[in-house]
Amino acid sequence: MVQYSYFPGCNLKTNAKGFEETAIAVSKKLEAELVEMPSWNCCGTVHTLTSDNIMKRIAPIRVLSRSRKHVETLKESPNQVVTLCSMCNSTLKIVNNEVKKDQEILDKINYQLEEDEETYETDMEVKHFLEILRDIVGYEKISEEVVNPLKGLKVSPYYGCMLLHPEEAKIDDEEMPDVLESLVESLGADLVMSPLFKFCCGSYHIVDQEYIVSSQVEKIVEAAKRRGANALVVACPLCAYNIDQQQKAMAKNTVGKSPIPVFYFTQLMAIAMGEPVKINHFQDHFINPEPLLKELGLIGRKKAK
Amino acid sequence: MKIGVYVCECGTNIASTVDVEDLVEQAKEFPNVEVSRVYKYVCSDPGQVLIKQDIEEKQLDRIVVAACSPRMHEPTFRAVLEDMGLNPYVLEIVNIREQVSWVHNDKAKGTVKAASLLKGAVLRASLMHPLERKKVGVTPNALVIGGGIAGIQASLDLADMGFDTTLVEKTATIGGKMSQLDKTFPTLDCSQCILSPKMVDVNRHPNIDLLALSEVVEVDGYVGNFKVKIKKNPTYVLADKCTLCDDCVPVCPVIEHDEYNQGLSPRRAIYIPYPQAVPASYLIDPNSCLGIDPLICSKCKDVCGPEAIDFDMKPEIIEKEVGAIIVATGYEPYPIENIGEYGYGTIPDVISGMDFERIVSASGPTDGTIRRPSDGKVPKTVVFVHCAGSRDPSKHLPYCSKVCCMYATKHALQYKHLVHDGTAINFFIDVRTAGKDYEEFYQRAAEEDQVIYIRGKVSEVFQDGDRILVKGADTLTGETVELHADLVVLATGLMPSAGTKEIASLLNLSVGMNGFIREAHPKLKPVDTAIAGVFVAGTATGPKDIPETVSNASGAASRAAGILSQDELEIEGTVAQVDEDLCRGCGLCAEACPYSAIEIKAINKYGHALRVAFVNEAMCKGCGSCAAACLNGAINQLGYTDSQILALIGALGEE
Repeated sequence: MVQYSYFPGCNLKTNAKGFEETAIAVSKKLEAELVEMPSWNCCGTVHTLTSDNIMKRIAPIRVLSRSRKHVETLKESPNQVVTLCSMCNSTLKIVNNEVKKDQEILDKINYQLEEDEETYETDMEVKHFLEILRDIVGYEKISEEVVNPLKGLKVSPYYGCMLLHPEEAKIDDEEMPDVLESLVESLGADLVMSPLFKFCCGSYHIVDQEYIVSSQVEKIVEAAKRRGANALVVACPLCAYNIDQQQKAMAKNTVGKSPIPVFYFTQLMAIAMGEPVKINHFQDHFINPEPLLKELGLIGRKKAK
Repeated sequence: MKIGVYVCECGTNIASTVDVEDLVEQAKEFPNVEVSRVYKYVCSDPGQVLIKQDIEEKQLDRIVVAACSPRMHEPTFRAVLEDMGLNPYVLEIVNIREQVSWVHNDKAKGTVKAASLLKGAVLRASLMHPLERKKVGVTPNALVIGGGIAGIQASLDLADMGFDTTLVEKTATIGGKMSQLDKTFPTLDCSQCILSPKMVDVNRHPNIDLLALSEVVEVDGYVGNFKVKIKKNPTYVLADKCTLCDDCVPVCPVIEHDEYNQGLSPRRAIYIPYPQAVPASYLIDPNSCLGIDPLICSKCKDVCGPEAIDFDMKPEIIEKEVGAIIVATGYEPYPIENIGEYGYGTIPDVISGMDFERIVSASGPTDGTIRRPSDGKVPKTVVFVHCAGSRDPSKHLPYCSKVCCMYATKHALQYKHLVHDGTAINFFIDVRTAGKDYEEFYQRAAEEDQVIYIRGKVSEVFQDGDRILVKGADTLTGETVELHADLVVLATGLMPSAGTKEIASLLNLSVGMNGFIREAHPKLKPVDTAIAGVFVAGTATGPKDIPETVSNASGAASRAAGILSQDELEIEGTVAQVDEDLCRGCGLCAEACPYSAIEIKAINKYGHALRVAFVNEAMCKGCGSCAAACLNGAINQLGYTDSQILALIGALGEE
């Protein structure tokens, strides 16, 4: 059993609890356990993308420094911090690369971190959980653990932007990624390819210009549905929220638009690996996936037996 | 020693920023100066006469001219000295125009700078010695590397002028990329029809030795006297016995992708590249043939009546002596596999411009009916993407590939002529039609043939069922465009061919940022290279269309003939000279030399075998890199000796 220092970030603790609980459950099963790091703070998110404000990089560096200490307390843990959110992954990776290249910035940040008794020595790597699944665990191992193949679930992978951009933070080929596709196939689900797999979900416009998000989401969902998908799989809590919530709003406003459920990749894994349904926190979803899963006999069957 | 100083006003070019009268007065006080004069245009005929008179009357033996750059008038004044019986190397030119008057506006300071430059030159002139110009013989043969249209034209021109010309082509036939094109813009005449007569001429010309399936592997020597080694790869078919009956092809069990048809049709392991190939001969692909080694199959040999097939043929090395070399190694299209947003070459109906040329060609895989690769259907909507790989500094080629606008327009036009109810859409950044009759051609496509032009780039291309979803922008209306197409043709850019890169490194030719060979001067010496006797033609120096390539090749041939037509060549006297007593044979100079003019040789001296540097004066360009690199001060740059340079620096350092 390898243990990884796991950085949750804000979303996974609030409206995406199901994503985290399923991830931790399957990570144990795959002998790559995610162990939450102590006293973590915000990853820094979009602020760190500005190039001239070093203050905004303190948050991610503090995370890396604390995770480094956490690694010492874990079993067989590599010097890696694992994230589930693609935004956290991107932010931490970019800043980590930046300080590895620029000692001057690192010195300034370390000076600021003195009062927290932290110092970072650029000896950590940032990984998205998908990278661990693909590169360390392997799809073969994942399919071995599948007890409840997702037969009948026609899943269209949706990447959004942050998993594949920018260059220094991407986890897969930005034009033709296959990490989600391979994962979906190893869980026994049917793969549905949609051309809009990285078409922007509308991102933070959900805060002030909802119409942008709704028009984006409509295109993404319709493209997947037209090609026969009955579910989407995502790897970003914001994409998940936008697509899920906007479909509900659209279903209310329009006639004939039947929404399809949005799964986090770890939720699909948990279902396929026979984990209890309640850890998915499906009640937090706007479009409840349970009717579809029941219809396909993917949940509720065991209880009957 | 008597030095004459001549200061030029160059109209007002110099006189407005340098006080020339003051300069002349100051110069009179410099050591050894016999006469100092100012003149409005020293380079003019009366100006030259002035110098000549002084040389005669005052017995001057060193001349210093303060005027423009020596790149302009050094030959003029050297001729003046030679006319008067002086050695041309006792002339010194001070550049007080480009380096003083044109770059300063303070007359007082400009005069001070000019005066110290002039003083340095006078001091240096006192230390000058007459230098000798050496002569070398010339081998009146030429080597042309690359058998595309550039190499063909250059070879024909040289051969017509009577020079024995060796044309080396890497593939099995000459013709190059032009032979794959269907029609040429803007006249829409058939490419093969205008090319094949020239190919035949090459084959028949008594002065051309055509070596196909051959590569230049070694080049030694210098201008007028190159020694070249050429590796001729085996065809495994004896050309003099082969009757081109084609009996061997149907029996061959190996199926390969046909390179001539861009892999869109099959060929056998024994094949002829295409019907008009020159030399017209079958050959065997040793990578896939089952008969070469080990001998598993010999079906072709069994059916060959004239016994032309020889599985034991070996590569041979051919040695040639030539006086000039023309590099015509050409381009290759930018690989669409690099353009991820257009499907990485994985969507079968996204094809390159060259693929389309074959598909539209009557000799191509579809016999001239436009069919798409995936299912062979005739596409009803075709999108042509301009600048595919070009003008994209962040990911692909930063430059404009010049011909793509025109060939994409030509493709759209050809498509409309063949599929009348079809729709052709061109996405462009700018339509660049700089060429004779090119703009009219574009207008005709847009207006008469209803080809649709959308200004904007295609951002992404997806397979969507059996159609292709094309997403892009219309930057004139500011809207995004989404449409479904049956076929997408990428107007891929041009990049230097692998052969261009190989030959550039073999010949030590300098290449530009983008890998194309650098010309000696981009405007005034477009077919010369930095190496004397080596010329370059066609797309090896950058993207060109066919007319430009042909005139470029004729230019290179004529430049080469300028060397080949002489009995002997004069070599500049300003070369590096090694002091054998000081040299310790470390080889730093040989490393520093950009022209491979220095060799470390063992000599017998004082009863010992000593390693010393040896300068090949014919190859030395007098750049001085070796003299600067030498730690022992054992190399002197004749005309720019250490003592002369120190005298210059001394004068500049004075207050």
